[in-house]
Amino acid sequence: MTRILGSNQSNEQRHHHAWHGIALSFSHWHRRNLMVAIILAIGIIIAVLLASLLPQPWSDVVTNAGNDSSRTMSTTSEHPGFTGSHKYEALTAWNNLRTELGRSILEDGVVTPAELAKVRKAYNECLSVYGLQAKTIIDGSGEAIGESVVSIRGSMNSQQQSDVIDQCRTESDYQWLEPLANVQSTEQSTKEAQ
Amino acid sequence: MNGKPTANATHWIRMHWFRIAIAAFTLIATLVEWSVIPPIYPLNFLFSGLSVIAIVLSPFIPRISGWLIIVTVVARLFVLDLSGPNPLWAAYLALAIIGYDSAIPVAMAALLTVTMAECVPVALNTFNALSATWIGMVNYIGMFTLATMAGMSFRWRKQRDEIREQALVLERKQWQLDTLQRNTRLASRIHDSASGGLSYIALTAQRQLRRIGEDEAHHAERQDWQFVNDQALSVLDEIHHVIDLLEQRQSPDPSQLDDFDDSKTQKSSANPLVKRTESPVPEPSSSSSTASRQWNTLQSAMQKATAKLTHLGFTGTIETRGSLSDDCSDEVVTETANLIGEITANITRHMSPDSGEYCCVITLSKAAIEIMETNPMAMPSNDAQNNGISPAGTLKPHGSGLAMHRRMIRSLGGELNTTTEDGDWILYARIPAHPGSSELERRAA
Repeated sequence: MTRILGSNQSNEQRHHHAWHGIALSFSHWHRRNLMVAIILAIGIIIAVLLASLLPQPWSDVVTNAGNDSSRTMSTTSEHPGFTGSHKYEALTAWNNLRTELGRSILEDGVVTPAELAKVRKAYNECLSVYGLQAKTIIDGSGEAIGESVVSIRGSMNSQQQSDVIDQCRTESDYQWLEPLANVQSTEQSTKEAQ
Repeated sequence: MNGKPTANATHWIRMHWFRIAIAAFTLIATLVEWSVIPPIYPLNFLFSGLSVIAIVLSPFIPRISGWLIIVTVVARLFVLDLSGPNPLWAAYLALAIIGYDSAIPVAMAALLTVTMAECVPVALNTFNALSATWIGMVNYIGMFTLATMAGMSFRWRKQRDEIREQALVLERKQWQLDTLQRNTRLASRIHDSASGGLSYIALTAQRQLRRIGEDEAHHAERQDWQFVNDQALSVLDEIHHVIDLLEQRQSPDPSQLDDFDDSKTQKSSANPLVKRTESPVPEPSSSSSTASRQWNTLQSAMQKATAKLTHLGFTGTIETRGSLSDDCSDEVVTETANLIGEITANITRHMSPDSGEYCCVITLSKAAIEIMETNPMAMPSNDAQNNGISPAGTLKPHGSGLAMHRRMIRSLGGELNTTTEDGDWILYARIPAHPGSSELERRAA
């Protein structure tokens, strides 16, 4: 009887050792993977925290559109000396500009197509935050004859979309610089034609 | 040098081409969208970047990548920025991967996570919702479900293919096993029927040669007996060659090395000393015709063995104890009779008639037939000891006879063991009377 008990104990011990070994190896493997996962998670959390501290452009467009509280840049008595037939339009635009980019473009009184493309890019970035994109309408000869804004994502209704489009045009200075660029371009074309 | 890693990589790509293809498609779609509408908010940039990394890693670590994609998709819902690549491509990929690689509950959990997360903006009526209405969300939920089901269906298809392949492998193995068993039976039959008889002829011829002597008067007779001996040995060699061919695909049995036949030191040196010993033949206890027939088979084998051994000058006893079971299998009786023949052949090959007596006891019971045989081992001649070879014109051990019987007996659920002790060869065999029940018991154990 004693022998049988002894052999059972021995078997149990062997089983215990085997399970202990498996558990140890699993634990080791598990611990290593867990460490990697924890380090990765901590890294991602830190990156998320740092990224959340960075500025989020165009984040208050909807709010501003709702209460119409978009601010223009500070207006001072100092402004570039605009000349030419569109100097008053340029001065009005200057006083309504909201970005440093817009003022740097209009400083010389001329909005070139390249400069307008930069403003248009900012305008599109603003729209893209809200799932919209501005699209140029081109006629058969390849000439731009207008612009439309299409919804590519999101669930805004048409009123909300309209408000966001207007606010983005305003906050990106596209509203003031685009007509000025068109007028100057037309005038230039006319002069070249003459 | 680089052949093996390249081959491994090629094999891996071939095995995972579909995974790579869908990951590549998703990656291209995501990057194209990224290039057209780059993410504006830094957080959106971070989550989109993590999503792209997860897509790239998805063929290598599918589960982790799948869940990382789902985390980024859910996280992007909390960043009110719709710029950047569409997260739905990655979401479909993640759901398909998890559906393929994980258990059904896990796949369902992933599906529910994505679905419920995408429903939150709809419920809160924020502008970044997939759809402004719940009806519109049904389409998206359907797409998520389809992606998950696609992954699952591919896994089920793979499992079905694996099961079919395993069935084919099993079928092939069964066929090989059947062929091997058939070959073993054939080899055993050839060995038992032809090898024993030819050995007997050769030994008789050798005995006659020794009797005749070297004188000139019996030269012609000597040549005749020499011819008989040579022919018998030559045919024996051929038969052994055929047996080897039949057993070629059989895996080597390590226990075979212990067989009597393999012992190089045991050579035939039959001596014409005749001392006839009759075996006691008890009457059969069963009166049924089957039992009577089986009993006669056993008796016939024993009588043949005794007659052959006596004729060659060997002395000893072959006796039975107990009575044969009424329902003993014919296969068992046949194998017992064949084993008696093999034991007889081994005695003639490996025992010297003047070295002592053999003793074979066959115990019959309801459960099994047991055979215990013992005989003194012949001492090798000096030449054989020195060269390790059999002298020309004598019988050479083939080494497959007992091995074949061991396999046959094992297939019947019994055992055959051989050993040497104090210069005596000892053979013990136990053959169950009912192979089927023994096999069942063995499988149950």
